[in-house]
Amino acid sequence: MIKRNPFSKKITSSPVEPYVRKIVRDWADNVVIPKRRLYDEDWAEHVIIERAITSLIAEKGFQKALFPAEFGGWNLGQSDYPATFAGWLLEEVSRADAGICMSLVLCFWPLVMITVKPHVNRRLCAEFAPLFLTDKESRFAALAMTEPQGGCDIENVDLLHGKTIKTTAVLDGDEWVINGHKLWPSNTGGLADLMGVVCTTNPGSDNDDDIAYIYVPSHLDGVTQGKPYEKAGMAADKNSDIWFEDVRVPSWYRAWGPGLDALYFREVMALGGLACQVCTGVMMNVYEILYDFCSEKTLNGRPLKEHDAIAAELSEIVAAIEVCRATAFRLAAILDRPDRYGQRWSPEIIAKARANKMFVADRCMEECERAMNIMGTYGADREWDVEKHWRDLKIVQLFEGGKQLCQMESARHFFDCATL
Amino acid sequence: MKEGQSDTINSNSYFPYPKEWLDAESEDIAESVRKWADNEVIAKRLQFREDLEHQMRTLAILAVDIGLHRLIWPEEIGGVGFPLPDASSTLVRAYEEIGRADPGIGYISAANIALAATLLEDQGIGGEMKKKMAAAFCDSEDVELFSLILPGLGDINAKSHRIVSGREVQAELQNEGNGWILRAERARPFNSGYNASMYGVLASLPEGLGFAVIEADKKGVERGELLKTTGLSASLNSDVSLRDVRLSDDAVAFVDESFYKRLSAWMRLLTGSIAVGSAIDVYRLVKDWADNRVIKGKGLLRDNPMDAAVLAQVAMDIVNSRLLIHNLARAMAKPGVFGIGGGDDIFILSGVISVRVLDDCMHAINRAMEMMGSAGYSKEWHVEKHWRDLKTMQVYLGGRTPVEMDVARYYYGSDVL
Ligand SMILES: Cc1cc2nc3c(=O)[nH]c(=O)nc-3n(C[C@H](O)[C@H](O)[C@H](O)COP(=O)(O)OP(=O)(O)OC[C@H]3O[C@@H](n4cnc5c(N)ncnc54)[C@H](O)[C@@H]3O)c2cc1C
Repeated sequence: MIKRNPFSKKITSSPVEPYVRKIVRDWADNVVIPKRRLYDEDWAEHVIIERAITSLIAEKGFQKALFPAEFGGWNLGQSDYPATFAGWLLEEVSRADAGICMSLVLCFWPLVMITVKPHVNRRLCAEFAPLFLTDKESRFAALAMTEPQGGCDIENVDLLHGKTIKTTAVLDGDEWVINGHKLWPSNTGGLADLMGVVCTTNPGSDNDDDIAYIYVPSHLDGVTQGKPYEKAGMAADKNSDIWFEDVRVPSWYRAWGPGLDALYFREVMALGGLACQVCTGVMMNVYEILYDFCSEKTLNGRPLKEHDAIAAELSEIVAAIEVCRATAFRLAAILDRPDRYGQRWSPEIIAKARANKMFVADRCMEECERAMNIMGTYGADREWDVEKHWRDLKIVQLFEGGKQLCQMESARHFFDCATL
Repeated sequence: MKEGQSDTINSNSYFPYPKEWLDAESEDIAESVRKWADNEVIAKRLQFREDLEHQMRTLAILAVDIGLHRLIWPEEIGGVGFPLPDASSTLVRAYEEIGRADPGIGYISAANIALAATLLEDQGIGGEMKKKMAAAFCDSEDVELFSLILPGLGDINAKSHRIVSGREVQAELQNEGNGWILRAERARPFNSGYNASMYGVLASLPEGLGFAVIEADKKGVERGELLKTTGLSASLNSDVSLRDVRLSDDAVAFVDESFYKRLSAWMRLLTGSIAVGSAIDVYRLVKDWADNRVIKGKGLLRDNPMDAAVLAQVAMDIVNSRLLIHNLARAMAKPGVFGIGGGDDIFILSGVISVRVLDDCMHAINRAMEMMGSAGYSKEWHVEKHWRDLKTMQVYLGGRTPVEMDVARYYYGSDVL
């Protein structure tokens, strides 16, 4: 067994970090890691998985973290370190299971629009906080963005300004009437309690003012969540179609209104850069597994780690973990302090977030493959967990823009491209 | 989505291969396997997914009805009599087609054919064992599934066995009276450890190596729990312990390192072909996607230069891999044409080509998944299955480092690797 784990030490200067990490690590080691090999068969029923999620987001209270203290939350959205704090969590949770991490992320992500300074919508916080304040049951939020014709175009606000969004919101008196079809949101397939829905108030328009971000409680008439999809990995993350048929919500369920919804939605995209910590968390566990594996298994009569050629491969893996973690937490620091580094919704910060996520996801994927290669026939065993991490990681490369949107948004900013 | 229908254009024909190395009869065989792939597997994918019974049924059609598992056995012992090693190019075409359909089925079939080819080519192996094996391959109505237990990684807590090309032999044979005792502790088979009817085991002897063929129901054969693996679902694997399994003389052949090397070369050739076929099927799927997917609200995915570059890489990887694997087949059939000998030369060439082909096909599939966004990740589109299958096959082949050590030994005379 591994004696000293260099990746369990703190990576930021915050004195709080070790405590937060310890809480999550204990949960991960006791609740998730012993059971995670069962998750692949539990993807549809979600019984074992949901128990684990509840013990994290409800019992440990994370589902209320973003809300301001006045509404019973932890005030994280008001702090100067929401991204760094989230980074610790994401890393520790992904070390155990990246799919559960998606569930956790989605407790935060759709709520960013109304809970994070400088844009705290107190009326909506007062409306929705009570839902998340319980520590008995998990409450699931979802961000409904992707549509059948494509996810990237909707994320690509700076180029398309919502032109391709087909889900419509029509104001009828003091209610929005929503119609449309979304695909893939995490925490759906029957789970979602509250959704942040990206809609258009004027189909085909490429004016930011027409992009609307509207909260839709899932119990309302006209909201249907489909059956969960079967995927290559991320069994703990439930995704499905969602249909909205003449769903009515109060007009003030729109987050901010014309122009500002689009602006803060960009910020939501930039915060997607925290997917870096999902990757590094996974790789921290791959390291732990490799440590044991390469001490036990031999090649040509020597423990793998004492075989110079394998040692060289192992060094590539730890080098990537070291550098990617440094990168990931530097990005978190940038996202934490718009006063120092620029607004999170600015093209510059979006470009940085995309570039970091692209680099870290690619490197970690590559290194996870390398780990499997080193392990030979055992690399494909569920028993060693690396193959699970490999399947989970792949989607981090593919979602949030897909690699090409990340490439384009980075190039667009750093090279002042005019036509991309 | 279009999956489930067979493509009207045979995407195979887009990727060149040296047709002059295949005669009409070989192409006929490939054509039968192509039809099997399209009709029995690809057309029924959505219905059966990774259903094991269906996989075994289709394997039986391939092996018994089409007769692929009889192909290389001499006519006088019940086979079709396709001569070795010339059949290598024919086999490549057949396994490409199987790989298009289901790399898992291809993999277990390949393990069987690689074993057959190695036995047939090994002059030191007696006629009795060959006949016994021929019966298993040619006479049965069902598929006799062989599981191979070959050298690989060792375990620090286990007794160390002989080393073959840097890999650790997983079993040992001891002569006792007028027979043999075979032992192994939690050996990791190459394929089908959980449900094979026979095992082929390369074991260390006090001096040299032996190859043992044993029935799965023999006393002392203990299969571990079914392993859950990333891919190759048709190959049900488990660790296997052999506790003092008693064997008669005719179940054991004396072999040397060249047996392992030949078997590896055949296995690499066939799995490389499966990888190429698998990547060709992914090409078909991603092409279908790119032909219809609109991005930036107007243009087709395939017409965007950034995406076109990625799509091009998918095709380039396949073009290169296919040419390489056909060249390996030819080199195995006619080493002189390539200016090399058999044996070690082929072992090294097969390692080099197999690592490259598996890497490139994996790269092609990774990039195709990237193009397809979440569809690439969903089981519905089937690309992710090829991705899981190929990765599993790649690691089952032992990864890159052991091959690099072989190459260094061969090209630089490096020692003690
Ligand atoms: C496990 C999982 C969880 C998910 N969670 C959520 C969620 O919580 N909420 C949600 O809304 N969605 C979610 N998604 C969907 C995900 O965000 C989308 O899959 C992703 O945005 C890509 O969209 P797409 O699959 O529709 O591909 P498309 O947008 O159709 O893209 C196809 C291809 O085109 C490329 N491309 C796109 N735009 C450009 C461009 N401008 N230039 C060049 N190339 C381009 C892409 O890189 C990609 O290769 C999830 C998906 C998965 C698998």
